[in-house]
Amino acid sequence: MFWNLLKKELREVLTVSSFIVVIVISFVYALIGKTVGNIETEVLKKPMVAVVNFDKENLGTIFEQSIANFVQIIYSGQNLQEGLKNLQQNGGTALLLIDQDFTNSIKSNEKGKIKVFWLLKGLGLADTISSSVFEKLFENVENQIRMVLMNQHGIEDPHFVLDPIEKVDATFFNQRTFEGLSPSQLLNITSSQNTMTSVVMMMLIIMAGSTVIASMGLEKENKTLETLMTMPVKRSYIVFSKILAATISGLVMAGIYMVGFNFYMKSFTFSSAASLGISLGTLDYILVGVSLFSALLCGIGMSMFLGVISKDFKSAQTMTFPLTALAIFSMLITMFKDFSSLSLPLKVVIFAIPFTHPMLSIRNLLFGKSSFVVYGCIYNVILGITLIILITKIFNSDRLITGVSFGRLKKLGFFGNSKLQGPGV
Amino acid sequence: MKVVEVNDLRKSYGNFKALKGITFEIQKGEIFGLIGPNGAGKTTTLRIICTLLKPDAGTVKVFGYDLLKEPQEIRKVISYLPEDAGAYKELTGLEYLKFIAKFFARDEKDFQQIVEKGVQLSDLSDRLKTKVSTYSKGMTRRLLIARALMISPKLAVLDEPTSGLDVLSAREVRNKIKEFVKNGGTVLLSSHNMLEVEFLCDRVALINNGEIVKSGTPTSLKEEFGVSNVEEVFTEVIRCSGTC
Ligand SMILES: Nc1ncnc2c1ncn2[C@@H]1O[C@H](COP(=O)(O)OP(=O)(O)O)[C@@H](O)[C@H]1O
Ligand SMILES: [Mg+2]
Repeated sequence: MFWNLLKKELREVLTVSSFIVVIVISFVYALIGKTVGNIETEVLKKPMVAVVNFDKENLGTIFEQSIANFVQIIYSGQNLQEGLKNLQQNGGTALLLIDQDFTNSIKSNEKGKIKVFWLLKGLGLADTISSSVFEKLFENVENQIRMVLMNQHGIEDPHFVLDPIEKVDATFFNQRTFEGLSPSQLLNITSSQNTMTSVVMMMLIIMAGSTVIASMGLEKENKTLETLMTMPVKRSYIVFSKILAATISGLVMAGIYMVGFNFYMKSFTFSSAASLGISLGTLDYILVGVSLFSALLCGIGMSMFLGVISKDFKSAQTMTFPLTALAIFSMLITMFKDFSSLSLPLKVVIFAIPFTHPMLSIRNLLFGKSSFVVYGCIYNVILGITLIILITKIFNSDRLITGVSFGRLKKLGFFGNSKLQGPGV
Repeated sequence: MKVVEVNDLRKSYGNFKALKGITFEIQKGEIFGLIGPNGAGKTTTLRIICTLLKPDAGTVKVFGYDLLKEPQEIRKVISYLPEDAGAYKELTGLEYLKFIAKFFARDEKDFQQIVEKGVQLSDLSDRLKTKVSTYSKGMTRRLLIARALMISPKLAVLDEPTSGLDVLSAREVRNKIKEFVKNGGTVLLSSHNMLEVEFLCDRVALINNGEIVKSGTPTSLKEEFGVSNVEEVFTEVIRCSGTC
């Protein structure tokens, strides 16, 4: 008796769509894991650092030696130009420039100057790991200097001994130099706005997408679409009005989110962003809007497609899953990694997913890569139009009424009666 | 005048042959019934005639328009009521009627007339102001029948218009259909209720397993088989197929 019930319940639970869901999830996690997974190795890896030491005296040498304990020195010498070139070529983390008066300043109770040139490859969370690792190491080295000072001087001037070094940052990123900013500060400035677009985009795709899919499912269940299709209305109008309405409502939602999010983010935002020349102008905001719109259009087109091939309301609901997974994947991947620091196959994948473009747009616009945003918009619009054409094609075929059957899977014995009722039943 | 001409119509879903060569004609002013058990191929036939599905083979003409060449023309003159249909849940009954009327009205006056007719046909009076989601099955069907007939289509195609309704509601629907034909319309309907069609249809075609096994007026069929109702005709035909 029990087995009979169990068999029936299993058959209900283990459907093709539930397998697809699980496969999609695992795939998403595997992909994210693969790209971001080297965080640990990255943390453990010694940062590659170039040192240019203009100080001939002992403290400079001590500093250089103690830093060598923690990092991999890729250049050590007296030539700044040479050092920077080395840094670029090896993809190192930073270059330390020890001021020629380093020892003298400290000996005369003034702070010794060290300038750090950071080389930043991207603004994803995973891209800035090596710089944060090095920032920690730098403190260790500073401690060593403190110890030396304490040994030599005793603690006559604790204030000075505790803080003997003045660190000046400069960050190279995307062919620009940001004086006075460390990578983590730069990340802070940009990440608030960037997180906003990512989160808003993800929410929008999930919400607008599932609304469209559900509405298609409902139309099929109530046969309202069937009715409309027998009336003298252009079928492309039916498709387009549905997509456009969903997109407009999505944009309205986006607007509301943004306003709310802005208030929330105000408390985190640096006001100095504008003065550093990394803030957005009107044109940039328009581009972000276009990017958002085009991605939304694609998302809705995709959901419409999924809704069209589903048979009824219930199967439409499971169809929302792949879309949700894709939206979340896009958000996570763009948060962790910057496009420029990805491998080529991943670049292709990320570019192909329409949702990633608005998610990356603010970051790209802040650093003057507006052409990338424009290409993204063009790609999205082309994809959106292709989807609309495809959906209209389906509308003009039997598929809309009959749905897409998994008949072939059934025959292969992936699921269904043949398998479960195997020999002996 | 021939309203519908269907000739050797065939349709398969994958390997399954749903229609195996169906031929029939409908004259102007008739109520023509496609009668058969569940799964016989009634809905498939109606969907093809209403331009929703494409036939695999055979020809279909509606008012002389070829199904494949001029589907747009056919859509202008027909009105289709799908099996077990509903309406947009977010709209009120009246809003739904107005929504449909907009597609057919030539001008504002025409629009008002269509809506007025729909309101009358539906018999829903005040309930038209409430949302469709609150309607009972009978009320929804009344709204949809009103929607299908208010635009005065030349041909109304109704898929199982009375199925699932209580006796009184079904009767009401049948009366509406008769009324519509009296005013010059033509009706193609399907039903698996063989008793009601005697009362409703001028001519019927009995369909089974994707084939028309018999057609004629209910009276002539009963006479031919010497039985008292169409249900028995059907039983006889099925029993005889192959043996007699
Ligand atoms: N989308 C479809 N895919 C596969 N088979 C279908 C589909 N629609 C209908 N059928 C099959 O075609 C046959 C005729 O269906 P249908 O025309 O709906 O019958 P009826 O309306 O007379 O009950 C049935 O056996 C049904 O199972
Ligand atoms: Mg049917």
